[in-house]
Amino acid sequence: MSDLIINNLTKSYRVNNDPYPVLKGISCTTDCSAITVILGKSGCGKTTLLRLISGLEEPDAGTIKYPANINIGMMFQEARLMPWLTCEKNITFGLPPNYDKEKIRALLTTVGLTNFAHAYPGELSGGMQQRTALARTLARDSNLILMDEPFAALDYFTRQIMQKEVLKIKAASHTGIIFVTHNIDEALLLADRILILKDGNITSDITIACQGQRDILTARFIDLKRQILAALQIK
Amino acid sequence: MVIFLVWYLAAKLGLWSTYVLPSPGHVWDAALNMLVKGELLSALAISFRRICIGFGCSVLLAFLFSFLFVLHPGIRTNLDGLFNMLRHIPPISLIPLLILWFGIGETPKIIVIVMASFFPILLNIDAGLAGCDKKLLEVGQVLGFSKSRQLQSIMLPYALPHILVGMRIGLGYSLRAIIGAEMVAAANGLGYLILDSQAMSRSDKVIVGILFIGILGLLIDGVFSLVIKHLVPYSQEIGK
Repeated sequence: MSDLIINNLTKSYRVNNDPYPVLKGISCTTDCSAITVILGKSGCGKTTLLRLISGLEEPDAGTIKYPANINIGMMFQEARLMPWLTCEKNITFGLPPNYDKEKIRALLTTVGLTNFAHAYPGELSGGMQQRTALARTLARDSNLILMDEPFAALDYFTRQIMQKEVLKIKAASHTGIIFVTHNIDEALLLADRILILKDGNITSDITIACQGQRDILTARFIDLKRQILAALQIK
Repeated sequence: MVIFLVWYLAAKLGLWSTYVLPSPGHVWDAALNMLVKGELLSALAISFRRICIGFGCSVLLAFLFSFLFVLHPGIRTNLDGLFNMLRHIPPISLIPLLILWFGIGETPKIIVIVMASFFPILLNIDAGLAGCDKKLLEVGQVLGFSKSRQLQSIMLPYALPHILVGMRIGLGYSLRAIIGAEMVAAANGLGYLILDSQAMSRSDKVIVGILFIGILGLLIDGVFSLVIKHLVPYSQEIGK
């Protein structure tokens, strides 16, 4: 698939009737078959950028050029499940009635929720809810998935499982992912490319060429972490 | 139980004449007699039929207007003032005009029920739809849902607890309204039975009629509570 091209994107919100600029003319090109991580501190505009790409919000100026035949899926910070639907029905939510039942069963197995297919969101833990949301996104055969700090509310261990799941999905389907996080370790673990967002602009662009499993405690990744911390001006 | 005991003692001690306050036993006998004769059940059936028709019309109209308000917000702006005025008019006050327009048949009674129950149902459906979690609507947006699909697949299920509460309140109002209407402009039904019994100086039958209205209300409310409990087991989750 070709690239997603963002050109001079600006977005402001109104705070106390005054314009508050969040994105100040961002331009970049993203490979839609890789994992691109947008990293930055809280309030730097990461989520806004993702919402603009998803079409949930309109930019004040600038353009986003999508590749042909793109099918965008999105996973939010919260699971956002429909409380009146079971886990399985949430996964198939919005699919045509003749959806592939085998695929849904396989997805339930992938996210480890086979035994909870008929449970309601209120009966699931936070991790299970987020896994359901992941399965819902994957059920749609999206070729680009936008993930907005999807694992931020999860505990360390569940987050690790979910991160491995993302890598498995990427390896199996070559689905492109734009992943927003403020967690540097998560970025190092997942990213083919890290875009650092600061004060409404992309200030650094780091490509991580690494095949196979990553160990972020090796010297190379520790160096990268230092580089990112310096870019974020965190001592 | 205390009320019943006070009533029993007051009647037993003869504090008031049986014409004013018949004893519970007397009322019980009157109720059995009215049940055997079919007088009570036939009045109940007539009132219940009117409630069903009027309430059904209210539910249909309330859904129609709520959907129009969501899909075409301009309609809400145009109708807001009129609806706000109409909902403050006591439905019973319309009866004289309705009799002049439609006679003493079924139409005025149905209109009175609609006037009484339409607004609480409409306001609750409207509040339920308007209060729908924006985050869930964004899920629909990302999935490419149209506005009507959002309404059908997200807003309506989300608003269902509100809708059922509105219907429960509306049904209670329907019961009150029909009894009032039947007292003024009817030749049958529970309201008429009470008024007719008063005219015949049968306070025992008046009390039977009143108690039956209470029991009917209790039954309707109980059924609705059960429906809410079973139909929306997720109502506790909404808004979390």
